[in-house]
Amino acid sequence: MLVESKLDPSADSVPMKGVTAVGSTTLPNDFIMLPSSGAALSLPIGEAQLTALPERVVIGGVLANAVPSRLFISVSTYIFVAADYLQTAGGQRFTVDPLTSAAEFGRLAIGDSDGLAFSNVDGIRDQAGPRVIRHLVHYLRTFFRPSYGRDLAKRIDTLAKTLKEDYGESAEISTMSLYYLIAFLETHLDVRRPALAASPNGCLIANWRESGSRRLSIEFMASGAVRYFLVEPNSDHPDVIERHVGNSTADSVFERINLARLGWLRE
Amino acid sequence: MTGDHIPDAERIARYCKGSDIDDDGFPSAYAFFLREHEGSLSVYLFDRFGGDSDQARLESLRFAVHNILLKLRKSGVLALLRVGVAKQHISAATNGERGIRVLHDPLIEPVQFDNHAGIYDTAADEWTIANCLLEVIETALPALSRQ
Repeated sequence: MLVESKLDPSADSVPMKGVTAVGSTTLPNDFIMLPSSGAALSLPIGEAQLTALPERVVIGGVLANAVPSRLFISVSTYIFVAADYLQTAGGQRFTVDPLTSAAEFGRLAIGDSDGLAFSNVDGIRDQAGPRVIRHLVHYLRTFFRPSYGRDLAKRIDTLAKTLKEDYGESAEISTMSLYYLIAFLETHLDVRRPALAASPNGCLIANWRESGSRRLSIEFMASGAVRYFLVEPNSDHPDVIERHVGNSTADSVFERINLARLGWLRE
Repeated sequence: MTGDHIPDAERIARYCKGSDIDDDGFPSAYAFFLREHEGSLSVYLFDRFGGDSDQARLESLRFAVHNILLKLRKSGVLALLRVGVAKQHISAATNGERGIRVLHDPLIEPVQFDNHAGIYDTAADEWTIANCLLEVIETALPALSRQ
């Protein structure tokens, strides 16, 4: 992923468009870019890879004229880039203004990739908080790969307000719950948009319904665990309604209850 | 009388908070989870409110409850369930492993209020029972007028 901003590399601390001079952590080491060819290009983003040029900071060692036409940014990577910190080889640290950097990111189309959605979880958990929620909502509006990202972002905003109305000003949507929901939906791109509600502690419950007798509810917990409740007619005996209840994790529930077989769950 | 079983034919109304309602307008399972300070799921005895129509009963309920027993909100709904249907459904859906009781539970504080009951025995398996109760909601009425 690319962040460009003007930088005077001789300065110790350089305020610039989109990049201000404070911060406390470094970027993760598994920063990944995917060019449109689909070939994964894994670029460690440690100190050696942050290149300072007279006019710009380039993350990932990719120069402007070598930027792939299509880039993929996973939700976990976005959190780090939008919320976090750049550190130069010389130890300078910068935070990136999320809106400015996102606007720059927004000029880049989103490519295709699977398998990244559940990465960097521990780092996200470390940073979890109201600020990251804003980034996640912004991510939904800008980078989320399913077409309903803006609608989902709007719903999260509404739900956050309703939660405060119901439980007081300190009530918030759980950052990690939202993260796991996003990761789930980006891993299973043909799953249609769920209807969302929230638990008193801000965890999200995703509901899918079809024709009255079919419903799937998954609660995404902050730990990455999920619990689910699936109601559907028996495939051989449609008048018999089956219920499947259980616990799993966000990254394995799809396979655990074989959701691929549920045509009504898809767009 | 306190502790009496509510007749199967009666309808009960559970207040579902706005955050319990998903964007399709349906309550989700947490609407039927025990809330803070609840020993049983608090419900109102909908058919005992005055009025010759559901709309009239709804308005009576709002008048009696809102800002007295509970602060209702426009984002919330009152989910109506029929007692007998709910009890039978929980038993059937869990192969007889779970059962609920709906018992008369008049309130004394902050005011004397008779049209109140509790759904008991949900705590042991809240996720399952709450999700099963969602299946037998007859209708969900706006907790407050949305006009």
